[in-house]
Amino acid sequence: MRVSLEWLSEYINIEGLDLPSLLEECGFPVEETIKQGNDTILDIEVTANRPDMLSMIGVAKEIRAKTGLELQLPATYVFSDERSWDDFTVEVENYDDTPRYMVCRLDNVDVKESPAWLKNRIKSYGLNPKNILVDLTNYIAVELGQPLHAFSESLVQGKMIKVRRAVSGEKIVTLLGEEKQLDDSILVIADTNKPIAIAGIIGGEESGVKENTESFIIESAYFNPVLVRIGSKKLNIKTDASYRFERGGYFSSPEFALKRFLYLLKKELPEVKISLPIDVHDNEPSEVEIELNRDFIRERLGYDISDERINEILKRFDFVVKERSVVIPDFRRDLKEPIDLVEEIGRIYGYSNIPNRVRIPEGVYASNNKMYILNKKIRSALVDLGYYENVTLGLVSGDELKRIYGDVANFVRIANPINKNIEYMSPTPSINLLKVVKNNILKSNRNLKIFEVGKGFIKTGAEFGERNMLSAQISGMVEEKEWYNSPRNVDFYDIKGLAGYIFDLFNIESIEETEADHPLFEKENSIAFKKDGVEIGYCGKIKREIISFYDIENDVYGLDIDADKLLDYTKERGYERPSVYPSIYRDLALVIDMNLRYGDLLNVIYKVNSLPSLKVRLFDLYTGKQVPQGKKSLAVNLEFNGVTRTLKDDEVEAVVSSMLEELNKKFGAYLREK
Amino acid sequence: MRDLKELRDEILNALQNAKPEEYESLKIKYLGRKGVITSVLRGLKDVPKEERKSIGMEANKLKKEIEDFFKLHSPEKGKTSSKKFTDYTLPGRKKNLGAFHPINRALDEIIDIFMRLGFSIEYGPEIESDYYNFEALNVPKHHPSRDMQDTFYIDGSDKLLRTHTSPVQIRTMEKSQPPIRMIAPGRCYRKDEIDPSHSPVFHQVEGLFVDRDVTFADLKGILSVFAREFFGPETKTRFTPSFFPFTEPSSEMYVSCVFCGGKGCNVCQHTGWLEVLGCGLVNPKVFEYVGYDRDKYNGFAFGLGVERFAMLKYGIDDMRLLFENNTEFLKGVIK
Ligand SMILES: [Zn+2]
Repeated sequence: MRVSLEWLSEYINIEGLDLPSLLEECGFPVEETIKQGNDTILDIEVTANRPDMLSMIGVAKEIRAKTGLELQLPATYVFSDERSWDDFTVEVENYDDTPRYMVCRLDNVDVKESPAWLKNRIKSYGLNPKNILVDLTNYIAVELGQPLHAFSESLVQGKMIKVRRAVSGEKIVTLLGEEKQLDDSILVIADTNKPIAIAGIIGGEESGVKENTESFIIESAYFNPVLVRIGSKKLNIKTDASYRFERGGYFSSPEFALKRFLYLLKKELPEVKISLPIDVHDNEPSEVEIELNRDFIRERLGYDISDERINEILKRFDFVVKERSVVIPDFRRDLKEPIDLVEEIGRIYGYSNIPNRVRIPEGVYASNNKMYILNKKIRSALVDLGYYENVTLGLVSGDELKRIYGDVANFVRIANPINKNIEYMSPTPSINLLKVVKNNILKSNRNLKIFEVGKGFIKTGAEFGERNMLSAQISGMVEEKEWYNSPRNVDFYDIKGLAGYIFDLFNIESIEETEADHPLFEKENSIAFKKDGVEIGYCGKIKREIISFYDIENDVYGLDIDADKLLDYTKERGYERPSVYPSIYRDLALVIDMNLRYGDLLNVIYKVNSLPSLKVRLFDLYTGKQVPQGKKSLAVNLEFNGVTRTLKDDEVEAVVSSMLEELNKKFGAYLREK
Repeated sequence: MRDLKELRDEILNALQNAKPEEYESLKIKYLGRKGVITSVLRGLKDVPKEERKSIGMEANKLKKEIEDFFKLHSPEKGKTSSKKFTDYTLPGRKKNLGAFHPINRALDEIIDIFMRLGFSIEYGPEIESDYYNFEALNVPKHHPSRDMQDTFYIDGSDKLLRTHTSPVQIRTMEKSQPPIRMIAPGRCYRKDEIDPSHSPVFHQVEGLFVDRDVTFADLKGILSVFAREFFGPETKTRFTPSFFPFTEPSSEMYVSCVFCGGKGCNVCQHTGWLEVLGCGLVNPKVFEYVGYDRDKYNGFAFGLGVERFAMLKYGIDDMRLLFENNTEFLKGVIK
């Protein structure tokens, strides 16, 4: 709301006041101060609950409440011997839609240019002066917050106005020349023929005030704010009038505004003939009376403000203060309950005057949140490992999803996206991490280790799934080249190692590793992790066609872990007395076919083992001249322990022999000769 | 079986007299797979049982001695000299740290402060219903205050993307009874174009404190402590009236400008103050929605934008930098 100080001083003496601070203390911060000629204009921010502050008089009243200064109310027209407007009827279809509708007929109007004072004030609000009739309606909107609408009398066919819902299929061409389709959610001003204006929003094409006209109708009304808002949204028309109407009107406003308008009109154009108003309205609403409990006010504010001070502040708002209640004038329809009075007292008394109190209430302690702890643990661990934490938008395009997943049926789409690039909720942070990889490579950051703990969204039928996920990606070299190292490029085993590290972090053991068929990863270079048959994550090499889509040339390895599942399976780590009996170690270098898997051998080794404790460590993998072509050698170190007794050499030998026998039978494995 | 003592003397003598370049071959000779010590140990099975134990121990002791020698005298592969020159100015073999994201750094700190003040952490869904995001927070349909939060809706559903973390207030009160002290960090969505100070996706921390006899003084007290903990002990706070449908009275908290200390600069538009969070006493209508006795309990609530806190604290002037994730940026600089 642009407030001209020259204009404002017509109602209240603001000399010597620091208005920006004062208004901010009341809750209306000044966004901008503009010098316009000799005038100063404050652009103040008005919250949605205070439509009264969208008017000069509202601002003046607020200043009075804060300062106690005198207020000068604007003069209004007094009807005396005007003729009534007998041959015209106004019908209101529904008082819920239109609690009050008033019109006057104006004849002998000379639609001339406005006088300088009026033009200046219209300009101070940021509008261009047009002619005296239009300028005066705008003036009233700014002065009192009540939009008026003036239109040529000849526009109305059939000597009647009906305020009604539009009929589906009706159309109107607006003042701006746009044709709009109407329906029964939209309130219109109609004559016997057709809608001539959209109530509270905009006039029809013909309704503009033309200079060669002499007879006009001036409308002053109170429309249901919700209807104006629905109409404005639906038709996508926002006007100063709709902005004001949708924030609310009140019963006494149309009458006061109309009288003020007529007063100024008559002053400027004494020759104008005015009819008595036609005033169609619902029953006058009963006044709002709020219980006044001064102890309640003191308790909520936490400050011992006196009864007298409370009464004084309330009176400055024009409230009628009684012993146990307050009567609220209808322009402050935001006030309904005792708690609303607490705010009024607090605002005017000043929040700064309320003391600070820090107390710990009994019976409250901060409980642990497992997801928070998990989140923090993962993030700390990864940063320690040299990973950079990312925060991405979590939104992706349908095109990306189609390329990766084939179609978009299982993903959550935003019905009203800003643009196509951020139309879908991403099923994993991984997709946006790929873009981070690309952007970093463009900036010559090639050796990348990045991660994000974020959400993944999917749709199953009508249900939406929302899960916590950890995604990580690596690309380039394992580490930067330094004087002491010769780094290699990252590979599958680095990302798999990261997964293992995360599982260790949460003490999750016996994870099943199976072939993966994940849309992000190359099938032959990826793996799925399962616990008790439930998938908890994937890792592998991102498919070439996906990284090419993001213009990435370097290989990228990625990881997707379901963080909620980590919570499901995490275990506490306890302690045991270490075995006091010595372990017996055996090293086996097993030669097997190149395409056999270590994991399969391992399973056999464990299965055959009959001794109390066995730990296996793969300490060498060899392919080359020392073994026949098409073969590889896996060297494992077996550590046997009796746990409660000393193992005998020959029992270990026996177990190892059966292992070798079984490995040979199953995989053709044999010991590499020394 | 050779006499072990004799063998020991011979080996230790040879080691003492060997040149460093001979170490590798000696190591293989003694300790290798077909080395002297290995064969001694292997031969143990042929030794009479009663001697096996003591000979075994002797042999292992010698093995250890030889290993220790090589450990002590181990030069870098092929490099010479047991008295190597240590250039202490060479960089150490240091593992490089990664970096936390500034949004989460700020968030961690915010959470940490409130946890010290006895607040628990609650999370809620990002795909929300109109009821939790608006209605139960006393924002009726078609209320103009919905304009402040232009909403993304989910296709083919009546759900929406939460525009603030305030729905978690409702969810928390529905499942627990007062007293309550909780914060709810998380992602929110609004239909804002990406620019230096807006993003369609952003992070908030919601806070809620419900008990008997909670006053505006409690709100001011706790939030002022928080501001000092986060921005520094010199930080002053100021509260001005505002409007949120779910609080009454409502307020904005300002902190003394972290850049100029309140003297006035471009960031604070020469006011000396920065608006940092919205707060207020919980509107009794909200208690009605969750079935609390509105005459018995009261409370305060607040909501803050994590991006803004991060940007103020770390001196970042463009929100877009936060979502680019350029590694050079994330690494940060020591100030
Ligand atoms: Zn400043």
